[in-house]
Amino acid sequence: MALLEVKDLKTWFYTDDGVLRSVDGVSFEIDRGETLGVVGESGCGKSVTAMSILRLIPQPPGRIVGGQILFEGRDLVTLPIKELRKVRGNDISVIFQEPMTSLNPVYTVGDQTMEAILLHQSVDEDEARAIALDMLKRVGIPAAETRIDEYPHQMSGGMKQRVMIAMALSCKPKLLIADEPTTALDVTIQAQILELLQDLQQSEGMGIMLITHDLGVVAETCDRVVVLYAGQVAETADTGALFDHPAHPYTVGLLRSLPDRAPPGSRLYTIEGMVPSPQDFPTGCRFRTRCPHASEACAELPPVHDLGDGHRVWCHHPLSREDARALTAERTEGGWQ
Amino acid sequence: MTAEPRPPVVQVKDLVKHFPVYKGLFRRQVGSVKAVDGISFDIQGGETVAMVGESGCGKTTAGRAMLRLIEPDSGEVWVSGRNVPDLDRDALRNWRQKMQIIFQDPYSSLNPRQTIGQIIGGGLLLHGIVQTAAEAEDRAKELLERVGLQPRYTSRYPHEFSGGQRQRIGIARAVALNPDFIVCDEAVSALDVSVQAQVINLLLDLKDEFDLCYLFVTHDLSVVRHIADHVVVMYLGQIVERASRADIYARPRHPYTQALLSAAPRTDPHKRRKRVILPGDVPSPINPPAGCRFHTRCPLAGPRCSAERPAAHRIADDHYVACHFYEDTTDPIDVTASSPYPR
Amino acid sequence: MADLESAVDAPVAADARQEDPSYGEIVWGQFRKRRLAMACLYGLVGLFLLAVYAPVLASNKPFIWQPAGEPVQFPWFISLFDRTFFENQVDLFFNTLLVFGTIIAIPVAVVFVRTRNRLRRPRRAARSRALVAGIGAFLLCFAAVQAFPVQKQKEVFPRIQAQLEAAGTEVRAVYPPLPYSFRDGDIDQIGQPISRAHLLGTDNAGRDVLTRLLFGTRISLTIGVFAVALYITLGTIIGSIAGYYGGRVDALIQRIIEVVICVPSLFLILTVAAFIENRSIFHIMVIIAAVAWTSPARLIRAEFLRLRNLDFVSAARAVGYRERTIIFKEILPNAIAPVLVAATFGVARAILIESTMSFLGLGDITVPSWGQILNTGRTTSDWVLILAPGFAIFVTVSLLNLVGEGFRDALDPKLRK
Ligand SMILES: Nc1ncnc2c1ncn2[C@@H]1O[C@H](COP(=O)(O)OP(=O)(O)OP(=O)(O)O)[C@@H](O)[C@H]1O
Ligand SMILES: Nc1ncnc2c1ncn2[C@@H]1O[C@H](COP(=O)(O)OP(=O)(O)OP(=O)(O)O)[C@@H](O)[C@H]1O
Ligand code: SF4
Ligand SMILES: [Mg+2]
Ligand SMILES: [Mg+2]
Repeated sequence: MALLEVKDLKTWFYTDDGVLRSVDGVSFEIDRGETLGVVGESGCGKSVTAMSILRLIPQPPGRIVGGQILFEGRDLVTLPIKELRKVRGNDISVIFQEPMTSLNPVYTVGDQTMEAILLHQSVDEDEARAIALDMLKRVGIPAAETRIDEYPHQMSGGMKQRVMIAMALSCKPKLLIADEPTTALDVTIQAQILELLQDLQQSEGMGIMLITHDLGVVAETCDRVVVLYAGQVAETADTGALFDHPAHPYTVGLLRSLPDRAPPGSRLYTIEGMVPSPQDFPTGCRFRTRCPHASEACAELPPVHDLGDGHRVWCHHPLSREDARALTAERTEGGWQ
Repeated sequence: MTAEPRPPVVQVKDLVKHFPVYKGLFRRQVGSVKAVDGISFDIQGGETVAMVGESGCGKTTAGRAMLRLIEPDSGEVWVSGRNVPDLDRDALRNWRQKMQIIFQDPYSSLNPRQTIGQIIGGGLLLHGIVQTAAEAEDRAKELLERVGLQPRYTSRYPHEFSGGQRQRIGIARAVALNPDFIVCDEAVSALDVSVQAQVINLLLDLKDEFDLCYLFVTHDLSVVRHIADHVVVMYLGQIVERASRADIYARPRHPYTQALLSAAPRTDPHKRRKRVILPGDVPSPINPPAGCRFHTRCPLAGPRCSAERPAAHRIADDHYVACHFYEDTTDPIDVTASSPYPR
Repeated sequence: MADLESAVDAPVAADARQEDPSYGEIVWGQFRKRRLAMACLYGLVGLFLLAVYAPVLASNKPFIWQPAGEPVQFPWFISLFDRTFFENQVDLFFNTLLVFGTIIAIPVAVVFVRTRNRLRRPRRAARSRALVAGIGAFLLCFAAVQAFPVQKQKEVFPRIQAQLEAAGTEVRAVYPPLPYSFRDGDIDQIGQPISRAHLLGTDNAGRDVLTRLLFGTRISLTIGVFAVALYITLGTIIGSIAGYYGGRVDALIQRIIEVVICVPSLFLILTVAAFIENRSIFHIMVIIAAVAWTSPARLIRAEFLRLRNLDFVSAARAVGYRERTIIFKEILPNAIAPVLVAATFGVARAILIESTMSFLGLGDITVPSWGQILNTGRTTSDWVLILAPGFAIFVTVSLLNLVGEGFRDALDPKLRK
């Protein structure tokens, strides 16, 4: 049994502009010790999916209108709120998109880390402080003994993000949801954080759901990938397979438009048009207004094709392995080696 | 890069900008942020120079100081034959036609209360490129079409557009004045992958069409690799390495450039590399480290590095490195020598 | 598969947005959803119409005047532009509105109704053209009224009518429902209690209180609007400069503002007013403006401090606009909304200040402002003269404040409905 199994999740927002089907039938699973990358362009529903797992969607306007979220076999969607609170922060931890605003400026980082520990573990304050200190050391905060009593504003962005990770990990969660943990950070700090997450995963064996829009980060850190487009899964596969022979036209388009896979100075491949806003998602396949392979059939909901090894694609005209290779490789030759 | 030598359109010499830092009740000056601390480089006509470096290293400040959107403290910036810091107010206003800027944030860079026509056409009237409002409107329509938007959008307001479309409007505003030189400050960083590719293509096309040169400020090394002819690598207000694109990517010589390149994620899952993990964060620019500013994080640093500021050594045509140990960096620096976590 | 042109952008999605509202339309749409504020706005419009059409309701000049055997005369109409009767510029302005404004409003209203079903963009264009033309026409009329003064008829028609009828001459005369002058009292009618003829009685000069109350609407609204317009303009200019330039300029202006707000404003107003002889309502407006400009100045300054660092301001500088243009054309339109909200509250405050001044005997005694009526009530201790204007002030100020609150909420994106 997978650690987390999301089945046909639907989270909609009921707003003035109508019902926004921001997450509309998303399914994926995460195993123990596995890093799942969730990629997609801004507004495709990555954060909403993550928030839905712990039922943290602002309600109203949001509501989980369908689907199951099975965590170790228990459905979090129907779990009583008391039970859910035990899961939050204990079994599943979240690192939010904005490290700068997720820490409370009036408490020291030590107090904030300890609070999470005291809430979920039966330890006294001294023990909690010891655990917190240990965590801060492990995430690589230099001079952790003194910095534990500092306030968030005294730390840099990278340090704050590490504190967030320390807090998230202090309860030894089975699943870590990291929503763009490095987007606000510099590349060198990003490399530090990603390395740290990988090390910790190896020693703790937790599952990680890594949300990002950076395909480079995915390629370098994830075992499997889910590609979201307009609130639906376009494709899911092992990282190697996805980058080697993507089958969904959207994934192909994304990979082909990356500047680091093209010869310098060449015209980049582009996907026609723009990401539709949730008010005017097309019917049927939501990518069909921009898809070069679209046919009349695409006005119907796309079927799922299982290509083996957990490679699944939701499309009427998935690309064959050879076509995909040809399309993406033609560009990769001049790419950044 | 063109074969025949053209005089540089832009020449920057020893540009300096420090921001004073005040503290306490009486706002006493307690120091200064050395945001840009003596940088020099040229941009040839038709060329793109990329300026890369981590957050806070002074890229934006450098770009804006060159255009005098921020008053530089000292240094020279020659644009199309005139030294911008020397211009008086009226001369500067005229000369602004030659140098434009495209911003990172597509949301704050367009005035929410002006129509697209006013945003693009205003400068045309101001600089006497067209004489009447009707002509300005017509020209704005042409430009909109050129950047891939419908001409009839001139009567709309910015909030009606997506981020990528707004960025195109910002680009149309910049090229409207037919400048020689455009600063693109993270012009594609806020855009999604699919839109980013569209805008990069547009910028490349316009460069040839209008015979522009760009200073392309960004931290995204894959974009730099795609569009730059030359690369300037900054660290804490200073240039640490400057070379052609090919040299920077194939033969980086400064330890910082090497670390930066190695940290940049690549989209090839089959070639997962061991990264150079730099310890610690970028130090504060208020009291930057003495000597070589990089020595607190550098895997090669020796005693000399903390004492003496390294000069820019010319190691090839167009390739300059500011490092005392530049001779030891022909092979990428040893990764295992650096501890993965801050000391 | 062709390499798709980067220039293509999705026409479908773009066309769907043809109908996007402008900022003003968004705010108005939000405002309309607030029932109470909307009702109050209708109340204010009603008050304004009362002010404009006050002479139709109350005047001692008959609409039609025809003693037997003589030609028909229209004394009411002529009196509207009679400088000896309506001495005041305020009344002259409202009378111009009454006559010419009504005429001009008809075609403008027709344009508004006709364009009702058009698409937003052409509708916006047609309506603003009609409005501008209408306002222009009105200003021309007002200038004409100023240029050609009418001076005539000093007669007090009801009395002449009584005399003529006593002498046996038939007189055909049609009066407004309240056949009284707001200005001239009837010595026979001093201190009348409430009656069918005088619904709110008369005051110590024999003037009908209801009539005066009605014309007081004109004065109070004018004082409110003009005083506020004056100080908003002043405060906006000062605040813009402080916020845009910052540094020393800002520090200096901040100190001045602090000095002004340190002195209790009523105290300052009363002191200054005491030094002016023959106070007119224009003096009063200026005095109110002189103490009240600090609050819009501070609001605008704060907005400027926020806005001046945004990229569109840098962009304007990079294009080469003059600083004046950047301050007033680029930044100000983005900074003005909260000030307009404050202005609504400001009108209410100005009306209160004027009433206070008049009540304390420091107002303009030549006009029938609500404060003046209160003052009369104070000296004669007639409760109707206290309660009636008090109620009028209360209603007007409440309406303004509720509209201001609705307006403020409509501007707040967090409270969007
Ligand atoms: N509180 C909310 N009210 C209404 N709509 C919402 C709300 N939160 C999210 N949405 C809608 O859900 C969609 C998906 O949002 P989400 O935050 O998941 O995007 P994302 O993929 O995380 O994007 P990004 O990369 O920008 O973080 C958005 O288009 C938005 O319209
Ligand atoms: N107006 C200012 N006053 C004081 N300090 C400033 C000002 N503008 C920038 N700085 C400081 O100057 C340094 C350089 O800033 P700059 O914005 O140029 O960096 P950058 O390289 O563009 O970074 P980023 O990648 O985050 O945009 C930073 O430390 C910043 O805090
Ligand atoms: S000079 Fe020393 S510290 Fe500076 S970069 Fe070279 S090796 Fe590192
Ligand atoms: Mg998100
Ligand atoms: Mg910057």
